[in-house]
Amino acid sequence: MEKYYYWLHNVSGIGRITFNKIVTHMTPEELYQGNTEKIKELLTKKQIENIKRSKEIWDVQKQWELLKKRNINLFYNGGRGYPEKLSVISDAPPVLYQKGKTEILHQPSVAVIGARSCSNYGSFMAKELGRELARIGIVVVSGMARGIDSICQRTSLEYGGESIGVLGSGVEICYPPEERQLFEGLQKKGCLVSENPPFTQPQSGLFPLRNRIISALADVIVVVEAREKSGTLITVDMALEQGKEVYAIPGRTTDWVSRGCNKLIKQGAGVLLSVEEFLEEISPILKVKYDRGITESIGKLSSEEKKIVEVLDTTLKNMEEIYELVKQKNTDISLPQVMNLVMDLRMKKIIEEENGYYFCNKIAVATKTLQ
Amino acid sequence: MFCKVMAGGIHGITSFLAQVEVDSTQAMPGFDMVGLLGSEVREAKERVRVALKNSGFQLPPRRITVNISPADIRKEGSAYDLPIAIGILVSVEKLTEEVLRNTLFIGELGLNGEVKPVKGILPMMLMAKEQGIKRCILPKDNSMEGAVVEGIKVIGVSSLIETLGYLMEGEENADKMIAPTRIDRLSLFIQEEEKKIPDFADIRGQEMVKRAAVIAAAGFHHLLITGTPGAGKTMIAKRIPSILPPLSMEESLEVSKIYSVSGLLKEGCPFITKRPFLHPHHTISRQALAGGGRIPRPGILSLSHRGILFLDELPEFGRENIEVLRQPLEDKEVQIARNYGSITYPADIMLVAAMNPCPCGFYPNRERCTCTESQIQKYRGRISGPIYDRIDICVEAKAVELEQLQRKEEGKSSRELKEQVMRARRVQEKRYLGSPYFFNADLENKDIAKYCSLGKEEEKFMESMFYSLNLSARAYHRTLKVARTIADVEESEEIKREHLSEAVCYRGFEV
Repeated sequence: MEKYYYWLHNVSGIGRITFNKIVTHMTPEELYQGNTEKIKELLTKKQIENIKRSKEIWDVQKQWELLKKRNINLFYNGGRGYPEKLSVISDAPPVLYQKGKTEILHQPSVAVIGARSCSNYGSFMAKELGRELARIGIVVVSGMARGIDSICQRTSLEYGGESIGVLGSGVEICYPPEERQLFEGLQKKGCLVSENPPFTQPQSGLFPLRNRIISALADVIVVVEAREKSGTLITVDMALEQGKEVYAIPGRTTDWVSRGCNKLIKQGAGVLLSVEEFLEEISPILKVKYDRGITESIGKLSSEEKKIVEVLDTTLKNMEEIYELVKQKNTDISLPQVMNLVMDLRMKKIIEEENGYYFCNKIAVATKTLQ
Repeated sequence: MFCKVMAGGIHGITSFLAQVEVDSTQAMPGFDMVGLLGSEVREAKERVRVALKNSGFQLPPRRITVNISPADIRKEGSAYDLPIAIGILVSVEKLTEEVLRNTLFIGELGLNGEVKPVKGILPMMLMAKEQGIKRCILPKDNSMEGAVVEGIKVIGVSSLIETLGYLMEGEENADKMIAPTRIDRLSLFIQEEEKKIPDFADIRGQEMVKRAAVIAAAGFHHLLITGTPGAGKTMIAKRIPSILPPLSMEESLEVSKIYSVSGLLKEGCPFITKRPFLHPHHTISRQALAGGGRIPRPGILSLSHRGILFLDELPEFGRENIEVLRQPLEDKEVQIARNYGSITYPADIMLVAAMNPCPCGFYPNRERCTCTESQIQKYRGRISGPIYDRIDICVEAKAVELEQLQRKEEGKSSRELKEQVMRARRVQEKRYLGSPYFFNADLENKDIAKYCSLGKEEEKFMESMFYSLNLSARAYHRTLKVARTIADVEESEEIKREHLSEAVCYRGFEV
């Protein structure tokens, strides 16, 4: 059955809408067997011509075997295996190509989406979410785009979680190309999904469309960082249309990349104040149990170490800035001493580093040092 | 009659002794020159004939043959004019053969008989000293440069007639006529000290970069300064010469030789007394950087020998240019191969490079920087891993805030910082006595364990640091070398924990 869907989906000139029109009247198999009478008035002459031509050149069995050889699954709307979450939306894709684990399409999931050029704060929150979601076994749905999407998905896989990458290109095309590792990882530990034929090249028009699949596959949507006008907010619109729960992570009002999120909050989106609290809130929706993990205690910090931690936050700072800030607190401390303290804290994983800049999540440090 | 005149030829930055052989016989009148001559030397024929005529000597109608030996080395340059002219005068018996004894002649002739300066005097003089030559007659403009080498009588002449006058006099009278040039090398060094160079005191804040500069200068480590536009990267780099240890006499001769063959020694400054600091523009060609040309000449890399090569906006130099640095940074010399042989120019440099953190320059300030992660990676990728590998110290300069600028207090002065550098320099001198090394940065991997040994506790610390920070193996040796220098600056015999963790702070971003 599926192989005829595969054929029809690959006939040129038959788009999503025409495809849906055809399948409401007859199955692609019937169409292939030669009965075009019933739908003659639905299609243009050219489309009928295309269907005829493609029957001659498309070897249904052989093409299907090739698809299977590449380990690509095909689900059609209404058929077996097609995710229910997807079929209920108004604009459901008629055909879904999938590569990797199939069962995770039906499991409880959270979509984590956000800006491509994210701030350090955004990437930090995306990592936190990825890690915690992986720990309690919730699937992360996202678009494998640069920035928030890929960071969260990567972290989820790193911590043994599962994730669905919804692609705008075909499932055989890795876009963005630098995410090759994540692309391969998703095939093994999660899955890749696309409504386009496997070798479709990325085109700008395809990405807004795939956003509706992201929101449909997820039970809850979290927006980590978004500019005021962004693709992320398209996904949010779709999610609201589909009646999904939307959460946004608040940011500073002066940050461009947090503008979108803050606006969502103003409009009534859920506010994610901490990952733990968020998971407690949504666990009933997802029908999973959530208990906070045990944070490792690292003991008390020395007074000097405290001074360093005090001047840091989640914005990136270099050593010079840290030194200047510590010195402003009227402390008589030398630069080499500061460097030493920072490296010590870095080894204790209290301070983190990116590209030679340092930052720290003070709230997490507070909980770690309290116990 | 046949005679032989000694002259100097240049190959790379070394000189060889060339014999100008002149013969004149009673035969069909003519003037021929042989001996694998470059075009400048072949043209000497006309210059010499006219110069002789205009100095009042009519060549007799004889057959004159000139050969410059060794005949299998190509001779280039214009320094052979004077020896050829003198050789002819001796062979036609205007001068006695006596005047040629133990004497080296160097100089280019003008048509009116004047003697003009030439390149490469210093290597020629060093060669002359080795050959046991006692006296050297060279262009007056080059006489200071020639006098740098002690133990040879240096006579600076300005014209052919003056030369002949000198040669025809007896030894004592001659010296009265033209006094041998003498210079005081030490006083030149002292004069240099007093010259004003930009001082670190002009820079407010930037403690981290200053510290890195001290460590880099102390151990002669290559240094990479990243930072936003206007952070003062260039300003800092230009002040590094003010804290470098002074050139030693041997080093100075090495550097001067390179400048001499390039013809860059200025009058009144017969040899190089301070470490070179060169900052070529990024449009430089590969040949200009490494040296080259049909007749090879030293490039910027060699001209910065024992000094600093500052490459501002490093990624703008283009991958090809930057890759040129690879072998010289490793071997500390540049080899240029031509079909008639290869030439080696020394290039032991301290590379100081500056670059922005991203294409627009404002990363990690996301308010201003819109570069994507991949753009940033691409920008940094313009400099290949092997080059980053050779740069021991990376540091970031941050734009100084207004408030800091307004503060009255001055930063640490170059004098203070140089004191620290000199301390470390003295320690290294002592440590590397009898080894091929000068600075910590020179250490080869096999000797790192010997000179940068760690205590048990420190070793453990280093291990756990590498493990928890996920550092690469290649960062290991770099960290040790830098930690050694930090310990030297702090006057500590052993490398301690704090030196190691400071060294790790300078590792910069890994590609």
